[in-house]
Amino acid sequence: MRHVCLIVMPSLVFACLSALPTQAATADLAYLEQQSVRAAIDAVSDSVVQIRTVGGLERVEKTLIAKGPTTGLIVSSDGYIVSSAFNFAQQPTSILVRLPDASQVAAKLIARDTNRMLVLLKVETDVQLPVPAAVPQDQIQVGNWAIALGRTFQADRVGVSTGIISGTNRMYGRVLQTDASISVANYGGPLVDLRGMVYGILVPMAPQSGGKASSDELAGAEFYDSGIGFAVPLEHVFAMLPRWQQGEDLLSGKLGIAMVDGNPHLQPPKITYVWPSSPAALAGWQADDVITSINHVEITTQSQLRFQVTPRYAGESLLATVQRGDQSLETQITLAGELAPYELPFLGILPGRTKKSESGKGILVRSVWPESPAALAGLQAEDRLLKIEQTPIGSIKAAIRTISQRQPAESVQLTVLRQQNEISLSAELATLPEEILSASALPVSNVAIPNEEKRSKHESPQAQPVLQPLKLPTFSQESHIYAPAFDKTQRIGLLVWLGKGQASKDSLLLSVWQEACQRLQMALVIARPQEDERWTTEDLKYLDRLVSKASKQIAADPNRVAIAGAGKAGQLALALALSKPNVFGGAVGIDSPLPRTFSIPKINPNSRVALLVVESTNSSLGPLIRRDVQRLRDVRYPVSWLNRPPTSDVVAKLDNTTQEKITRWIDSLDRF
Amino acid sequence: MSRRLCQWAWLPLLFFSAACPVFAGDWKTSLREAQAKVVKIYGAGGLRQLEAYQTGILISSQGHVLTAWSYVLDTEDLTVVSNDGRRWQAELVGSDPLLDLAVLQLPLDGEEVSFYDLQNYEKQQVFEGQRVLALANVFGIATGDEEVSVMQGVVTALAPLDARRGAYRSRYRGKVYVLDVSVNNPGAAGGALVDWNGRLLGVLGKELRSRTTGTWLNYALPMAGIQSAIKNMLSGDVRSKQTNASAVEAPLKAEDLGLVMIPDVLERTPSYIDSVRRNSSADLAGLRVNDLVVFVGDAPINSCRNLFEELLQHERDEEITISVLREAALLEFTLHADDSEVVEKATANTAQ
Repeated sequence: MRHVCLIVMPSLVFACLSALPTQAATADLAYLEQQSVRAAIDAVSDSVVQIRTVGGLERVEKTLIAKGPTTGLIVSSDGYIVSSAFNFAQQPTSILVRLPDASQVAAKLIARDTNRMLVLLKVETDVQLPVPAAVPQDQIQVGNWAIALGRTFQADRVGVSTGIISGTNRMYGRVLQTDASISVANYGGPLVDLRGMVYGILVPMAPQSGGKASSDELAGAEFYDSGIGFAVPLEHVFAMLPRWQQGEDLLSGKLGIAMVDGNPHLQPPKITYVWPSSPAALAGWQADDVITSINHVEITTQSQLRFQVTPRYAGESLLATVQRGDQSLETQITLAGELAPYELPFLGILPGRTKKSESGKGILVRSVWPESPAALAGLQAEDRLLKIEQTPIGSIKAAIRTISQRQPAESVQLTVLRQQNEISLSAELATLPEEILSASALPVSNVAIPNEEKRSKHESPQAQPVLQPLKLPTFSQESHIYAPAFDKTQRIGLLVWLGKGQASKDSLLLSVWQEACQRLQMALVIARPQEDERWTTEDLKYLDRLVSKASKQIAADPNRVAIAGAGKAGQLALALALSKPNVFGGAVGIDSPLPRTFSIPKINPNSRVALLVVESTNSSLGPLIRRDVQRLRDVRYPVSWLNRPPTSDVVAKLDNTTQEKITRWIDSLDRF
Repeated sequence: MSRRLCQWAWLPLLFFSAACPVFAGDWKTSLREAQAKVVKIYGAGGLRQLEAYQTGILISSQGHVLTAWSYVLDTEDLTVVSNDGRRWQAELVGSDPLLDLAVLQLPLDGEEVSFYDLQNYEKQQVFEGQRVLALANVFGIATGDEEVSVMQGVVTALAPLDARRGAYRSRYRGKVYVLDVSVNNPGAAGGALVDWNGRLLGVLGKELRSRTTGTWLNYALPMAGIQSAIKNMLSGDVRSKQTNASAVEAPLKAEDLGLVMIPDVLERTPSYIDSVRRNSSADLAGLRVNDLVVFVGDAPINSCRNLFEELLQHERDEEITISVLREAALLEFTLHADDSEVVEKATANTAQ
C-alpha cells in the first residue's frame, strides 16, 4: 500500500499543478470582481446619509411604519438630500440627518415629487458635502451590475445588496428596474454601478398607484423580496433640482381628458370628455378628437400616450397633434398638477319614468324643479324634451350625458314639444341641487297608486308583502328582497338597506318602507352582514355583488339605485356608492362619517352619485360628519344634509318626518 | 483495499486547496465539501406553519451538530440525515436560549463524517458586499441522500440584531450578518453561511422580522461571536431561558431626572419636554421646556413612549446623555439622576 501511495502522490501533485492556471484565472476574476464591488461602494458611501424621524403616525392605512432609520443621498455640496417619499409617509414632526462626519443635524423637508415618489431635504452645513456622479441614462443597459446601498442597519457602515439592471424606462418611462433586494433597508439610497457612479435613487413603486392619495407613498413596498425594485435616475433628479430647490412640489402633469374604454395597448387615444378649464380645454381639444403625436413622437395607442405624458410634470408644455375629422391640428398644451373639480350641471327636469320611448318624441317632463334653469326658461310639466342644442334626446341616459358635457353657467338651447308645437327655450345651467324638495313640489306619481289598486283587485288576494330570500353563491349570509307589484311600463328603482342582521329588525324595516316602495315603484333589499349584526369593510365585496344581482333581477334604473345604512353600515353605503358611481344614483348615511382612511374619488363626469347625510342631534360623531360633508362638497359632490331628533336606536326609530324626507330625496335621484 | 486507497488518495488534494490563498481553488469543489458537513434534522412539529425540520452543521469528529434551538428539537425522536443518506438518532447535548442555538450529538460508533473543525477556527474577515453561500434544507426539499440546497448572495451588513418574532422582541442583541440571500424560510435555521472557499462564517438564524425595517430578515450568527457559547453547550450546558434576562435593578424614570413630557395621547406623541422641575438634574444640565428629545445615549427616541421605555433600560444611578432638538440645533446634555436629590436635599436644608 505504501508503494502505491508513492506512485499516486506525484501524479496527484501534477494533476493539481496542471489545473492551477485555469483555477487561478477564475480566482482572479472573482477576486477582482469583489475588489471592484468594494471600491464602488467606498466611492459612494460617504454620500449616503442616515435619516431619523421623530413623531408622526404609527400606521399609514394598514401598514405599520417601521421605527428604524432610513436612507438619503446627498445631491448638492451645500446640503440638499434626496430620499424616498416612503420614508416620510408617517409625516414626522422632525427630521434628523447624520452627515458623513457623523454629526447629526436637523433637516427641513423642502419639497416633494409626487410623480416619482421622492422628497428633497435640506440641511445647514458649513462643510462641502460629497456629491456622487450620475450614470448618463444612455449608458444604462440591462445586465449591468447594480449595487444597492442603504444606511439603516448601521450608522457608520452602508448596507449592501447586489444584482443587475433588469429594465429601463419602467413605469411609463419614470424609473429603472433592478433585481437587487430593494426594501425599507435601502429606500432613498443609491443604486450604484461598478465604477461607483449612481444610476438612481431607490424607491418603492406599484404599477397601479395612480390617483390614490396617501397610500401612494407606500405603494409597491410589499414587493420587497420579489426580485423587483426601482430607482429614479439620478441624472433626472439633477436636471429637476434647480426647479425643485425653489420649494415647489413636483406634481404629475395632467391633461384633463377621458378616453374611450378598453385595452389601453390597443385603443386609440380618442377623447370622450374634456375636463372644463383643464389644459386640454385650454388647448382647444374636444370630445372625439384623436391624439396622434406628442412632441413629434407618433402615438397610436393610449399606452403610448401615457409613456409620453406620465414622466412629465405639471407646468411642462407639450406639442400635440390632434386629429379632428379630416383635420390635423397642431396644439400646445401645458400640463396641470390639479384639475379644477368637476361640477355636476343641472337643468331642472324630473323625467317621466315610462320605459317605452316613443321614437322622435323625446322624453316626458314629469315635473320641473322649482326655480331651476328649466323653470326659469319656462319649461312645464307634460312638455316633451326633444333636443338639447343639436343633440336629439331619446332617453334619460342620453339627456344626462349631454348635460354632463357642459358646465354650470353655460347656456343651452332646448327644443321642446308642447301640445303638438315645437318651441325653443334657452336655459343657463346651474349645479345639481342639494335641497330636498317639499312634498308639494314633487309630483304625486300618477302611476303607482292606480297600479296598487289594480294589484289588489286583479292579482293575488294576499295582502301581506313577502320578503323573498336573496342568496349569493360563496357567501354564507342570506339577504332579502321585497318587490311590490310593479307597473310593467315603468322604470323601477331599488333601495338597498344595510340591515341589523336580525329577522325582527328586517320586518320592522319593511313596514317602514313598504308604502314608499309601492308609491315610488322601487324594490327594497335588506342586506345582511357576514358576521352577525356587524358590518365590516370585508362586506363591501358582498354588497357590490348583491346590488348587481338585485339590480339585474328587477331591471333597476341605475339612476334610481340607492344604498343606505346607519352607523358603520352607513359608512360602507357611502364608500361603496362613491367608488361605484355607475352602479348607484345615491347613498344615505345615518350618523355615519366616511370610513377613516377613505380617500374621496374625483367626480366622474359620466356617472353621478348624490349623497344624503342624516345626523341625529345627539350624535357624538356630529363634528366628523360635518367635516366629511364639507370635504365632499369641496370636490363638488351634491350632499344633502338632514338633522333628525335625538335617537337611541337607528332603524326602529326612523321617525316619520325623516323617513318622509329620505323618500323624497330618493324620488328625485333621476333629476337632471 | 482499493476502496481504502481511494479514500486516502484525495487527502493531499485537500491539503493543497486548503493551503491556497483567498479565492484559490475551484469553488465548486469547496462547495461540495461544505455540503458534506451540513445535515438535515427532522423532529417535532408538522402542524400549521410549524415545519418539523431544520438544518445543522457537523462541528466535530465525535458527531457534534450545531443547530438552532427550536421546537423541532423538542422530541425524543430526533433524526439527523447526512448528505450521503446516513441516518442517526441524535441527542441534545446543550443549548443556549439567548442565542437560540443548540448542540446535538450523533452516535457515530466509529463512523467517519466531514465536519468543520472549530478547535482551530480562524476568524474570517467579512465585508459588506462580499459574496457568500448559504447551505440549508430550506422548505425541507432535500431528503435522504440529497445534499442541502445552496443559495448565493452577498453580506448586506454586520449589525446588531434588532428583531421581533410576532410581537415579541428577540432576546439576542449582538451583531449578526444581515444577508442579501433568501434564507428567511422554513428549515433554513441551523444552516451554514460559508464564503466561496467553503469556509464557515456563520450559522443561519430562525425566522425573524427586523424591527428596523419591518421586513423579514435574512441573517446569520457570526461564528466568531458564538465560539464560547458552543464550548459551553459542548460541555453539556442547558441553560434555562429565564436566567438570561439581565434585569435593571432600579430603572430610571423621567421624573427622577425632573422631566415632565407632554401628555402621551398619540401613538407616537413627539417627545417634547412639557416642563422641567426646578433644580432637578434636567434643569441643572440645561434642558428646557419645548426641547424635543431625540436620543438617549445612542438610542434614537421617536415618541414619548419610546423615551420612557428607553429610560427604563438604564439604572437610576447611571449617568446618561440626552440629545435634544432646540430650534433646529442638536444639543447634548449629560444628566445624573442623583444630582437632583442632592440639590433637593440641599435646598431643603437651607429652607430649614
